Amino acid sequence: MADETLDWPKIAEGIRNSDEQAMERAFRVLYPAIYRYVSYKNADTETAEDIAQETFLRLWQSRENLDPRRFTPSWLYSTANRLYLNHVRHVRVVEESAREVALLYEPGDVDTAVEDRLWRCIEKLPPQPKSTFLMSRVENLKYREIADRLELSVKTVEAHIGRALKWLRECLGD
Amino acid sequence: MSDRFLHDEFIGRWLGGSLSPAELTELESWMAAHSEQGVYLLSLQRVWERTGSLRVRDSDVDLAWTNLRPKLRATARTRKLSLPWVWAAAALVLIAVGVHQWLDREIVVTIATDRGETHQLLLPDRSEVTLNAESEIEFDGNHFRDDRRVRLQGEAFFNVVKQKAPFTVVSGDVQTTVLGTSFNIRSRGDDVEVACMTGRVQVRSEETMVELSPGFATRRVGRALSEPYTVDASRRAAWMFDRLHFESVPLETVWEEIERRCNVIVQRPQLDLTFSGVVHVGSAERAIDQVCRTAGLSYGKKGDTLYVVRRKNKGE
Repeated sequence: MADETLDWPKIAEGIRNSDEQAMERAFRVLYPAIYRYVSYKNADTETAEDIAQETFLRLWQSRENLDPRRFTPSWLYSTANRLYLNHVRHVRVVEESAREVALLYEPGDVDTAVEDRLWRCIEKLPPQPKSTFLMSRVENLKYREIADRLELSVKTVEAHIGRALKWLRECLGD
Repeated sequence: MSDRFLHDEFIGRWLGGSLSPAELTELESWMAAHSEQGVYLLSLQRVWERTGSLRVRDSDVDLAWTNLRPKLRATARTRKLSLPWVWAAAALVLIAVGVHQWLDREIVVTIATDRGETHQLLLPDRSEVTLNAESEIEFDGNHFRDDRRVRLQGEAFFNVVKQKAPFTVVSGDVQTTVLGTSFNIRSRGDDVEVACMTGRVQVRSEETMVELSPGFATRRVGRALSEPYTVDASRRAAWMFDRLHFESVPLETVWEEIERRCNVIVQRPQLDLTFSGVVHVGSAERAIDQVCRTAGLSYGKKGDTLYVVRRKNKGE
């Protein structure tokens, strides 16, 4: 991800000073990641977009309390997670079968039927291992990066990955 | 039997490529010795590899930003509404339009008013600025918090929030520096006048420095500044409420100011007259009518142009 290249303390300082340009730069780099993160959590595309945008709006609204030296993108992940949980509490989660898997996932090079089966199994993973696993496989993030963003230990990330693989293997039956 | 190789965490570490060469050798010999578990681990590795090409559909960042942007503005505006004035929404649009320069993270924000309009705006430090017609203010949006400095052309009334960092207005070669106060600056052509309403204001030109207390003003005289003189500072700022106070000013200045405020063209003869009085500029015709009455002139209208004529002796 490109966000390593951004100088976060500086960006955060800008946002704190109501600088819309700084906000836009943060948004352009992190919005796709936050959107994906929320979509991994069984949110449909529209909800994921709404929550991801709301996350950034919250950042802007609380800009005066930002501590630029301490700000990291993990703030956005935990806020997005909280907003998602709120959403789930208010709206009964869409039944898994009702969720349009095809809308969310881009078919890869592989045979679509096989791909489709794989995604259906991924859908069944518990939320935490699922988002950790997808951040690693889809976005190619290092465990360290995932750990930082989700404020987990690397060990926990490793355990989520291992767990997800075991479940997937069982679901796929091979 | 050692089944640490089957722990979630170990499997995650293995497939993530974080095992040391020694651990890897150890794992391989263990797998060879325990074929059943070995086969199981290899099947997990296959799942890992299969999921390496997963792709998800992205959300359109441009569209999302376009959606979010007005909401950012809206939150900024809610704060402004709590102030005594309702801020002109158009000023916010002008901020966007006026951002005409982006150089190495320096963002020059320009807010300009046209003839016939005034604008109220908030600077990033929440200082309030009211721009008179045909005026322009400019500042570095990125560094403003550290260096409160604006450039002004035309006329503006400032209500500056008190902070440790001084607030400086540069108008031509005259610099006005304050900590927190309200004052009016008029900088039209070579004429620059700074009037202090509250607090203390420090004004510098190339050659002089003058300190103003409330109720005092100074103006540029060549490269220097005049001695402070008393003014009714509230009159100096009365243009904000559509009233222009003039005290023995050339009639020409009065016409120019009306043209500027009302966005009209006043065709007039060159007259060597001075004018004193209050002109209401809520409506152009009313303003011109008022000046004509006082100065013994009459006027007529054709399209957007108003013609002021010297009144002939009785009748025509």
